Amino acid sequence: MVFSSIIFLIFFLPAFFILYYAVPAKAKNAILLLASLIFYAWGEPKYIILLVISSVVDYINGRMMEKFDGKDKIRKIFLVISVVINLSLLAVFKYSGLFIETLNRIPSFNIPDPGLPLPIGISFFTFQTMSYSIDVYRREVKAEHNFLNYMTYVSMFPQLIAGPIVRYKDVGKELSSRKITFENVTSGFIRFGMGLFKKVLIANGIGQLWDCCLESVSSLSFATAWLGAAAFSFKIYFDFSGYSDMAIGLGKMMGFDYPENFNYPYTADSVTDFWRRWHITLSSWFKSYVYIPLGGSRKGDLRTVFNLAVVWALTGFWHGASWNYLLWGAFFAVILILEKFVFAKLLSKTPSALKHIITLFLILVSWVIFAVEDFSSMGLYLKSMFSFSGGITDPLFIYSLRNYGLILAVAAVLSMPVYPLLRKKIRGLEWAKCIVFALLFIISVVYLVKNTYNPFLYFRF
Amino acid sequence: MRSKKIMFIIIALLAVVAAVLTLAAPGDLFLDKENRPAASAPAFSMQALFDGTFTDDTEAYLTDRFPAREELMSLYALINMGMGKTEINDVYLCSDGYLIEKPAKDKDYGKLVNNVNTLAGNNPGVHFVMMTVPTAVTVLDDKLPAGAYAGEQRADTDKIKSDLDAGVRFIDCLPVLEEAAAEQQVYYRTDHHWTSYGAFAAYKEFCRQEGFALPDIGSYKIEEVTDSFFGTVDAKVNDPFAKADVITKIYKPCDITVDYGDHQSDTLFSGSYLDQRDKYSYFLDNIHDKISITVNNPKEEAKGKVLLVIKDSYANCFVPFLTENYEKIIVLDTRYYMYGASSVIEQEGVTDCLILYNLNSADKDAGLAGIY
Repeated sequence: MVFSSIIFLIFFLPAFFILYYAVPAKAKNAILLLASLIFYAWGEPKYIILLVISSVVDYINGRMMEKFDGKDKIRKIFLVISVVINLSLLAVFKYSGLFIETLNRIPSFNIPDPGLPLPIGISFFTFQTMSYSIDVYRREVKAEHNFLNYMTYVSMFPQLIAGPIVRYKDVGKELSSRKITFENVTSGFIRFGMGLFKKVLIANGIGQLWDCCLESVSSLSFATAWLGAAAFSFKIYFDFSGYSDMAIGLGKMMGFDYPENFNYPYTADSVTDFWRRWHITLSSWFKSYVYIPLGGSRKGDLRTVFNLAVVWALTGFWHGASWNYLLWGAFFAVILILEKFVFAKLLSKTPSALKHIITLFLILVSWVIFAVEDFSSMGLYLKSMFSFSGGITDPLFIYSLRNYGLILAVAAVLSMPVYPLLRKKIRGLEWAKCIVFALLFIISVVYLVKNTYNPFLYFRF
Repeated sequence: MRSKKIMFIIIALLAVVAAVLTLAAPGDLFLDKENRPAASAPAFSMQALFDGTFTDDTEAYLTDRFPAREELMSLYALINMGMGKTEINDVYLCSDGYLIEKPAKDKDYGKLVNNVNTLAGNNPGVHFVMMTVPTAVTVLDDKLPAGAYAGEQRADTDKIKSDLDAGVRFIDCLPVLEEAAAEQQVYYRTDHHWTSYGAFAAYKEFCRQEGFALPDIGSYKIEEVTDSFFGTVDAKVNDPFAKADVITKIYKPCDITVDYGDHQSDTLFSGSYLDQRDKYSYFLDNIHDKISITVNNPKEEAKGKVLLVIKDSYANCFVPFLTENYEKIIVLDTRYYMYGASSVIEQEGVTDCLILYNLNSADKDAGLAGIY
């Protein structure tokens, strides 16, 4: 099930919360777990088994590491079991198709592709359960004894399928006791509603412009190519951060405090800064569990370069089973290394405005690498951005400005911390704010209904 | 904080009300504007549960019954117009109130042309005419929003013409439709079809190329049969400002017998459709796999001429003009007619064959495979 659907908003959510608030505190995890399993199974019931396997494995690992507390070798074995099983799930269900397809390009190779569909959220829940086992191994958290609590942690529907990646230590205490206040319920709901608005109105709206540009990739003008890249940048930001907002808001309505995942990434003044603001829970996951264990920046420059390259290749590849994501990760590795070792001094003297422009430029280019999986189309697209081979402008540019100008402007404004600023300035007017929110919420629902509106062109035959 | 709480309670109550209304909606429901029955109640089985169809069907059942769908769709159109959009749901909002479908890219008419060539090759004794009708997006391209993609029907027409075998006469209606558009409304504003005026202009061109006497519109009766037609393109947008179209009938009274397969009639116009949403079906009584029209007192020059029309719905308001020129007309909808055109040609002694499709759907018409 997805958040941005009528079935979730009108049926699942009200039914869940009525039950959740009605039952005593002890039973809340059971209700949440049951709802999460239904949420996950909706539309793709088979893969629920993977979620259960991943949870059971790491629950047992945690208990075992606790049991063999004094014996480091045995503890290490359980850590390895956790990592191997989770990475194997990823390898089989997420990457096997790509590997087989790539190997088959070598003559005489002809491995049949089982064509497994990607289990929803597998990249997120495997990382969550792994983080738990690693943290228990490092003695940063105590092993969870209550399986219901552990399973609830892994499968909580708000962040199950698109993050934020919540570590066990973030919510461990709340899993056994949490406070629900009406105040948190309403502010959580408002957070959810704003996320829905970001996803449904802005991300989906601008997404159409990107689709349009990609469709005419062979004949894009310079201006349209850049407009399209900007459109994708907004689309992915509002889509993803909107989803995180919805997750954080729903968590708050249930009494959980999930970590923030975005901090106005497009206001970054360097790519290093961008990655402190974009998908924060993922980059800190890689930092804690890959970069620092590899030695981070403490083992000399050469080793640091190597570590950065490894982390960014993995980060790129995590985003999807296609080689362009690896290239995307490598692109960032190069820039981050250059920022750290080559241009650090120069950047410190560069005027702030110029740094922002350079950063945005690099991010826009990176999103094109990210968004176009097929390398020949990617080449065509980048060619349009860096040459006038398709002309400086074209009718599609005029058409797009007219149709998407307003939404692009709104997206640009909302990419900056305007709302927190306004909130400080405008005190009072509580009713006005509520009415604006309610209108945005209703408009979001209208858009969701529109997605289900499906007129049949030809009259019944 | 109090205002937020009150707002939260109101929205929560609204959600519950919407859920209750959805569940209370009847199980058997026709969505008029969407022109389809609402999804039926999901059937539960273990298999349906595991392959995901049960949940999909449940979702379709519920979303189809959400209260005020059509009104919300109009609201959606209104919001998008407010945002300066000139395209909603793949429909261009054009000047003078025209709603025109956005054309698909890279259309390929090869299948249609091949089938026509094969049919003509198999029936050397029959005179073949092919007419592809450009749609509003081409003829009325001056009304499109600035910079809108207008499709490639002009180039496609040239390609079809050059790919057709020499034995098939190709009639390009674009010039005459453009000419007629300056004087008359040749396409509906809210529907994807051409009007009777558009069809008449094409008929005139057809007569010119076929060597028939040129028809004079002054000798025809012109009658507005309805002024409250909202067509299929409007149904995609639910444009709250859409103005109803007028359906005009241009005809000469004549004595004919029409066999629709399931019933007989003496007219090609079915008034009962004018009370329904689907008013274009006034022409040729909506959909029939085979219609046989016999002209009871044909003109001297029409005697012995038997025309087979292979067509889509654009032909429905065109066919009535042809009763002037043929003694018998057989109209096939190859999506439904199972036995192939060649067998009809043989059985009915067909002398002429007209293939008439509009360029918007000619490449994807589900019946093309059944042409020959």
